[in-house]
Amino acid sequence: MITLEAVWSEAAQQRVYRRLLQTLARPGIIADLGDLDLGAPAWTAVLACLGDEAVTLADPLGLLDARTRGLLGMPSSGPAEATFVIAAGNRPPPAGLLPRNGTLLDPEQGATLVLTVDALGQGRTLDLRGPGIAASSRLGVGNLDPAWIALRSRLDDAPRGIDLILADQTCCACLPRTTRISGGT
Amino acid sequence: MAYVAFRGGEHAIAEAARLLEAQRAAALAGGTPSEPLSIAAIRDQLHLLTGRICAEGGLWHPDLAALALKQAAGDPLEAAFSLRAYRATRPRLGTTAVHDGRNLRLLRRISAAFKDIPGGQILGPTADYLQRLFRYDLLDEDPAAFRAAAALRFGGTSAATAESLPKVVDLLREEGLLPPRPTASRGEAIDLTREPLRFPAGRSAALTTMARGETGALLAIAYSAMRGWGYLHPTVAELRFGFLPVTWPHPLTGEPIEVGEVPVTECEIVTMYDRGAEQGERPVFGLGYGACLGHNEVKAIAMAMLDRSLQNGRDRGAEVPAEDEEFVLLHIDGVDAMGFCNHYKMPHYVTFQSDLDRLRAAQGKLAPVPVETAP
Repeated sequence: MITLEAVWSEAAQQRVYRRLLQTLARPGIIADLGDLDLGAPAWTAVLACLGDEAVTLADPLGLLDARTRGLLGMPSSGPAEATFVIAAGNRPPPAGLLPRNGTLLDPEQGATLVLTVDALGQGRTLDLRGPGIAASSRLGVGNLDPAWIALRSRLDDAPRGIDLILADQTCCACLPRTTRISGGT
Repeated sequence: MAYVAFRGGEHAIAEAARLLEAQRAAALAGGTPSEPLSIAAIRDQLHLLTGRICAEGGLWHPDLAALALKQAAGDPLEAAFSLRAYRATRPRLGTTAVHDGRNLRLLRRISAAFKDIPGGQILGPTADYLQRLFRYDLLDEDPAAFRAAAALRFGGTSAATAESLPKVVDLLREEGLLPPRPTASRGEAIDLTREPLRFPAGRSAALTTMARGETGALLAIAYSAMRGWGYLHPTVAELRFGFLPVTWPHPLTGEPIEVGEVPVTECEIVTMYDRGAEQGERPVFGLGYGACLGHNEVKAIAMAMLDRSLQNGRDRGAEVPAEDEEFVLLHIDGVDAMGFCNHYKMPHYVTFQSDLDRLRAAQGKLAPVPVETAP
């Protein structure tokens, strides 16, 4: 009998989904998935929770192994067309990377970037303001290359834009396109 | 009097949630709280309702439909909303092949067109012949009698029913009384969970929208066409309820394998719509089709009626509301309609302030009216 890690189970994905939802609703909050014993890094948990055969994934740096790609079931596509792009946050964006940021009629078509980072809650601090934040919020992101924030700003053309999900081994945090970021660049 | 926007209210909202929970537990009504409802009891004893929630939620999950009803204190619109939201979180594994209602494992099958149909009429579980009189014995139901009733099981017909229980519409087709089945593929079915409803919507999108539609809304518009805001007099050629085997391609061989079954109600109506005669062609009946998850005959009949009406509207232009695709399809989704209706409870302070300003400005151009005071 084939036994899969908990990250591929419906129950675990529902728990991840609810925590992820909180981090989207309250930018700056860090969701710790460590207690779920997922058997996979948080970035895999995020993709397992959000991805399926109806959305596409670009992995220009080859961060995911073949087994994970197979279990995710997300068709591959180029970074410019992908619904989800996974990349390493501690390195600058790959040359020429320009994820889609939707259209005025379909702003939800903007891509979601899942960035692997060294550690959430530590390192350089981002100051956050905007919807879901009472006054301001701070998010520590270990070793996030500032070019990612610059790329996000370049694609910000409300309501068009991209959404970032930052994930380390056990935690994740979200920077939706509506969040205003200062610091970290 | 001034109207101003305000911030805050978190404490009030938290208290409102506590009161709602108290109301769900019936504590607000006073007296001794009843026992908590079990999910199994809701799922099984209110199966018609949980089936409706599954159909409107677009997901066959009776346990979660029962949970949705429980946490919504029986509000079917809220329950369907919860189930549809949950459905959106589930991964899509693929798309099944087209499933044919001829494969239903039937518990019920009737025709209003012919008394004698091959395979016979199967009444099955139906309330059609009951008097609407209270069963006072259920006020204090005898558990032994309840268990005895539950022990009577009718498993339905065997799966292989296509030959022994042919569809009435197939018989009508053989006689040339209905248009032949289209042989060419009409393309992929529209998936409304991925694509928004756009007009002209076409039959696939219309049928999908109606399958998830709210029973009362479908019934209301179909009833308008039945009573006089339309030109159709339908005859129920066949109404079926049973379990439809769901097949899925085997991951290695690709052969379809049965992975489960879902209860489905299916209805075909024929109408005396003589389009062919107008064009100098052989006249045939019109056909309307309805199908939904669960056992919901009113919904299936209303849907079939509206399917026929919408086809007429597409063919020769809508003349009555039930033939108008936009009118019908935009107003039958319970979750949509409930959300729009409820949004009026949300703060509209800014827009109402604008209304006030304009009204006062308009009044200010006229002579002042004395304010009436109570004697």
